[in-house]
Amino acid sequence: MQWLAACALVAGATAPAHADISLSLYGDVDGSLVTDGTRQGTSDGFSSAKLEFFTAASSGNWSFLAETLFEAGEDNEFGVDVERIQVNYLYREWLRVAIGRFHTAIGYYNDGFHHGAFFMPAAARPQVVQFEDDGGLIPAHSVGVHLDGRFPLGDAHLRYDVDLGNGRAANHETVQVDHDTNRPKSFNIRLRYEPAGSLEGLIIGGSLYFDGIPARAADPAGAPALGPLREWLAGFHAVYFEHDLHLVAEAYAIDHSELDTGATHWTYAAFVEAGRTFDKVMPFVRYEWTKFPDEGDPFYGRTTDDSYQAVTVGVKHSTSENIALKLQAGVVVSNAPGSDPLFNVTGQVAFAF
Amino acid sequence: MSTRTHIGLFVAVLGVVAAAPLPAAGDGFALIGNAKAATQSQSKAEVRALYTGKSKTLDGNAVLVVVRGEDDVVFVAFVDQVFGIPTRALLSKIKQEVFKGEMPKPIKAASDDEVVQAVAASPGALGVVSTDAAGHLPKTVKVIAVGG
Repeated sequence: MQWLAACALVAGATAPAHADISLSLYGDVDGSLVTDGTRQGTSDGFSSAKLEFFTAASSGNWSFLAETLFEAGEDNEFGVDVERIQVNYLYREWLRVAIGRFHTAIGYYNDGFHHGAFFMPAAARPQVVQFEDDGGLIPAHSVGVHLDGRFPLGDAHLRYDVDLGNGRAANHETVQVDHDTNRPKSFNIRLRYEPAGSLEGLIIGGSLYFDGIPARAADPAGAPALGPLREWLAGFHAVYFEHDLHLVAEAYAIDHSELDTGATHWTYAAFVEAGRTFDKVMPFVRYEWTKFPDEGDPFYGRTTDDSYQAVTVGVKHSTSENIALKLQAGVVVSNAPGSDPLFNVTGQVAFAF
Repeated sequence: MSTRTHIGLFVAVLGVVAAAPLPAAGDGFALIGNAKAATQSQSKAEVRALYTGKSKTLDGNAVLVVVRGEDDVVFVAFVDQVFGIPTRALLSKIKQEVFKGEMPKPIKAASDDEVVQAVAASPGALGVVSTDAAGHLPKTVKVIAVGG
């Protein structure tokens, strides 16, 4: 049924009787090996698990975009996710309004790279900004209203983004796309300073996200019952993309406060990614650090043993306008006592047609 | 007039020409916009912002950029002189900004005539044509001077 709906969507996108709708295809095919150095702790395999239809259309100051992702999960079966569906109205330079499902304006990576791996140097996003169903910590998607705009500050500019949405569900993997299960709405604001002149290409920004998370009953899968939570997420980011450089740094502090007991649980995370383009080749390195609270975070279901550091080194070859080849190696060092470092090697063919 | 006067006049004319906004940032291309746009000139930084989705409006109209092929001599000159990067890098950047939802998908044109046609059709459109073509534009489009 989902396939049928998606086919209907694509058919609609190409039907000549409709308005001019552009259709692009994104996806990637990966091969990877993960090992802790033992035979039992080694796994390898191939993944051809993502195919995305990106549709967009515009008419004057109105525009529309949708990102429909066919993605296979742990069960090795394809499912369909409509990752973004936005209707935008551009009023002036200082005000654009979007409604629908969009990427929350948190940090740079979250709404800078979206689901297509083609544009990223690495094969996958940093873990903290992974999507909700991939173990990410931020509310990557919002369903509601988004405002953004840009003001001149001398030769420089100030950009703002504001999101008002349904917010988190009781389960951190769920995006409340159909309805909100509690009254409090999520609110997010991001401000960015974009200097001019010799610093053009630099973006320095911060964001603040607030939400009320509904209580949840005990999960048959093992997750305990949890009372309502209040979530605060503060983030900082700095990026620079000029002179063949690719520099991204993001840091987050995330609090889940239990309204019943007043207990607070702070998680901290940061990553730095640096690369330089030499013609078609970009070598890069990424460092990630995440620290869960000593007492654990009940919403994420993580304990301090889940804290980790990770380093990834790789190279991206932009083979053509449509193909990027990537090869990377990394190591993840867990905070869990007695755990061995986990090494990984990944090759990827990412496409964008 | 003496030789010295001739040289003085020549230098003065050169100075006026150098100080005036040029129809293009250099040889080989001219930036054009829809004739309905009030904009007469844009700085290079403004053009970079318009072509990469940072600036979204031109005189209140949604910006729609027209791009040409990666090896198109006119477009290569434009990208080199305004952006200072390879054309492939700019096209990739535009593709990413479209994917982000920061700008509409650009119109691809293969010739000066196609650029003129596309720019004439949309009040917020911007395109690049050869300096030869810029001398014979229809009234529906106009040259936008590119400053420093």
